[in-house]
Amino acid sequence: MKDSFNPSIEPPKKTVTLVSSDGYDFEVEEEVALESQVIKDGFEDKAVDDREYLLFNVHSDTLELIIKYCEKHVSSRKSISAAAASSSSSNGEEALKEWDEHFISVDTNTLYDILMAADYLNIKSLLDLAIQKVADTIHGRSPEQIRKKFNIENDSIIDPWASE
Amino acid sequence: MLMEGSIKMLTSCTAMSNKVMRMSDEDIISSLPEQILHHILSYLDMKEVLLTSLLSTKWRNVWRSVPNLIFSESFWKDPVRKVLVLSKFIYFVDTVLLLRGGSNINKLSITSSKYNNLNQIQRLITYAVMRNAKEIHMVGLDIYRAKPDLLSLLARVNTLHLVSVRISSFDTQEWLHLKSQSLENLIIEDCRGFRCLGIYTPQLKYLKVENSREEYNPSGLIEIDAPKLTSLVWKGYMYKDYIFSSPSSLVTVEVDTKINSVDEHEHLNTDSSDEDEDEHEHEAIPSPDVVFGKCLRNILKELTNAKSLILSAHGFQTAHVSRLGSTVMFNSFDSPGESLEQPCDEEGWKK
Repeated sequence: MKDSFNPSIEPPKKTVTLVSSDGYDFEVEEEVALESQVIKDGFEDKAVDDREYLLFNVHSDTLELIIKYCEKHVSSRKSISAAAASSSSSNGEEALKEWDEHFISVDTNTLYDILMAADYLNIKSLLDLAIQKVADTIHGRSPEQIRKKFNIENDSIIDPWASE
Repeated sequence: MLMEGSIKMLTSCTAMSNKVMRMSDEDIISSLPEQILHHILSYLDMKEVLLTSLLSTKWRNVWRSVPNLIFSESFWKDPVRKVLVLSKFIYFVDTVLLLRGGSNINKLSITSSKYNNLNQIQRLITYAVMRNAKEIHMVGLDIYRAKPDLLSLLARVNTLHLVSVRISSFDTQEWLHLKSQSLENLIIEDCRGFRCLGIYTPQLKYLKVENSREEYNPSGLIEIDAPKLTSLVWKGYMYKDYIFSSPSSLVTVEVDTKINSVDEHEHLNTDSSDEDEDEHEHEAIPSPDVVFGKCLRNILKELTNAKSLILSAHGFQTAHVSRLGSTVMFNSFDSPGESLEQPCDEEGWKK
């Protein structure tokens, strides 16, 4: 069942099924699912007809975004390497960066969902992207501004002598 | 049955499993696992990291075990006069080292043009290396004629990134010798203080040398003994000679060089080869400066296994060969006077 990856022959598209925590099935191409290191590990050991993954920690809303991200990255990787092979000038990497930037510009709750899902599925580039976004939010802000931004309650006793 | 052995289930973030309806004023960031918080803080300068200790009791000690220490003097400018308050910066660095926990360090990064006391630098590097730092970045520091033990400390990391550092070996002003058993990635950008560079690193895989400033042009030679080197990037002004003293396993090479202004040649040749398959493209444009040609030849000689080669100089045409299976893709060659010969053996492009 091991595929022979002859680059000159386009292998037939294989799919795997990802099941979100709220029970929705997502059928995605194998290479898209393999963006997740967790799925990649031990992928070859699984029978072909058994390639279904229950993602107990990822809600369908988040999974949809994650798949969108992985599909984009798989396809632009291909077009970048094709462009490189033909030496045609391409700003594929720039464009992808812009796309990433736009992709991760989401509200805080969605950002956390993406972050946790990327951590869970071990998709390093997406995890880095999400974490960088959170770090950017902290960057250049005073503690008071950070508290406000993230709804952190200041429970520390500022002046120990003043309390009781 | 579906899941067995495939997904490490429920290792973390169980709290996030189902999309709970969250109150909009919920403090989610504080509930993130500590390793994620560390990851977030790893992107920030140590001064900003320290500020997070004031957020709440939960945050008070998070900074102590952040694995990346990033110190930059730019955070220590006098707010009014906009000049660096060096004493505060030094005090801050020392205090962080004193108060942080004993956890391992992944990366140490220090950016300063004034933090030049060799003893302080040595103390900082020692601290990081003793805590198993894998990566050290230095920007702007002056470790000219550093004692041998400082260089050998630096040689104990996996990744060393030097930018605008004035550096040389202690015993000689001509050479910078880097000997390391562990170094895998080495990046040297716009460094000065030495004319010749010797790199003796059995584990090195990635090497980048960039000289974008003509006045730092080392004018000497580079000697490289790195049998495992697979990726090489040369940018900017060239050294006068390159010596590879061990067989090469280079896979990708990028050369983007400038010629010193004394070399008035406007053109140089662009060769590309993939000689594993004896497939080879050769292009000869008017002969470049003899020295330059010799250097380039020494580099190109090493490309016995190369799969990708990008050559460009002075805004010249870029040739990029990459192999797909046994096919060499070769397009967009719009330099004048190009000629393609195929097949051709190694000798063909040595001239």
